Amino acid sequence: MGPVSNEICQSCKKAPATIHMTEIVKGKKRELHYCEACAEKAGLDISTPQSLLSSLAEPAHGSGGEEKDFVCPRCSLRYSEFRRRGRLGCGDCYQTFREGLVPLLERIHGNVQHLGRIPARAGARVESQRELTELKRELTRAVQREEYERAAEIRDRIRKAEERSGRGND
Amino acid sequence: METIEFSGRGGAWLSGGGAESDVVMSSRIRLARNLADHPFLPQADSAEKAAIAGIIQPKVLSAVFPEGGWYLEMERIEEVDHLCLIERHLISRELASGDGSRGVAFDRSEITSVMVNEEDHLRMQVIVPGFELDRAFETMDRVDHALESELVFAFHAQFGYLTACPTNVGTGMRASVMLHLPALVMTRQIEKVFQAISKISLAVRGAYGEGTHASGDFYQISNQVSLGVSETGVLETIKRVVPRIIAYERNVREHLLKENRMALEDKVFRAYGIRGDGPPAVRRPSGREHRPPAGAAGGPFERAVHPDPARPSPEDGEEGPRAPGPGHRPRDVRPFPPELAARRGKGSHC
Repeated sequence: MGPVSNEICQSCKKAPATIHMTEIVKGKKRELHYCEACAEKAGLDISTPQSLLSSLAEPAHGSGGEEKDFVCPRCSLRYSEFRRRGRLGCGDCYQTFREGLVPLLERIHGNVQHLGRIPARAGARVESQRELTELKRELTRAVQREEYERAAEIRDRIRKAEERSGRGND
Repeated sequence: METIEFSGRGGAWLSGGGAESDVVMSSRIRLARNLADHPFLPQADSAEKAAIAGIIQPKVLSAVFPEGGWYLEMERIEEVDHLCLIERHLISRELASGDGSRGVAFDRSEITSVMVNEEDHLRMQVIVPGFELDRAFETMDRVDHALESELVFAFHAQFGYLTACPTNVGTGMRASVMLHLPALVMTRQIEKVFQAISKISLAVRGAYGEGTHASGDFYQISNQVSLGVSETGVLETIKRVVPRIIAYERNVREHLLKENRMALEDKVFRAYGIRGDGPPAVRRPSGREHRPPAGAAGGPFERAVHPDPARPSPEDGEEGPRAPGPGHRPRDVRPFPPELAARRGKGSHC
């Protein structure tokens, strides 16, 4: 990060200016100083650390492979908007944009399964989900170690657990 | 416009107590939560924001501060008070500069504070003096449970607690310790520490969170990852790493004292001269004797590396962490420190 100036945004005259641009049109030089919000309003393409991060999220694809813009049915946030701003609009966005989000979360956290505290209300359902994840991990480990008998045993347990949770979801 | 009258002292985390307090200034836990039935703030209009604040405010006051606490609405307090709250680590820069209905609840001790409508509907923090992460977490956990019995939080079986920014999803927790590392800075060893830390997915930041530089040699070490790790797992990692940094800093302090005492004393006494309150005395403004913590280097160096935290570090000039000291009232706040006036960091991790 370079030195920080104390300039004020020339548009709203309130917030500190963080976007500094030198525009040269027909040999005429003009300096622009905006805050982020005003720069966005002025239609400047600003790249913030946040948008840098979320732009790592995969572009969404339709069934035919063409790029497609999903819209969250609950909060009407567009996926393209999320990729630009890096913020989700509601809890449902996580489900709606799941396909693009999972690789992003993997990049950020190195992980895509919550392991921490669970709210009392969500308890049992989440516990079974967690058991399933743990079993799948064990299965991978067993296969890597070529412990095939043990792997078969774990596979059966996974099947049972999946049946249970499948019934639970219906 | 309302103005706040603080009790004339700093928050408890400024007391200078707690474990390893010669190096660790404070320990902090932050949790992010959102209401399940409302859109996150980026998609909330002003009416929605007011509705969210209206739901949360009474619940926070009754469930988190049953003994009595304050709720300050940001739109109704003056800008100078915003700054005062930032300095006291009660609110973030993002809350101060945000818009719409938003506020902060806290109590007299200033250990627990709950920001409403910052980046998420709820940003709760517990901040205690010294290296006391477990203590901070226990308090935070109680606050979380108390609120969870009153409010339904957005939660997903796979992704955990849902947050507006995907960097906070999962536990929604950021645990951090604030370290004072002047000897490592002086000897340019600090870079090595940073390199090692970044390899184990911990982050180092300046005293006031993301986008602030390390004024007064204060550094904040926190977890980067919130998904796929348990709360206790995160605390364990930090608890394993920080003692090694503490030991490193103390070693270098002792070495500096042995090898370079005169230069060091010169620095210290000049700093006291600049501070302008006469020759150094081993005394805190509270009047209680200051006892150097076990294992810490004694003598003038100790005073230099562990200054009265309620004042800016003498060598920083205008850039010290400007925490309000005893007798401080919001009106006495000095001009906007550059690190606060500077760029409003997007993508808060605070």
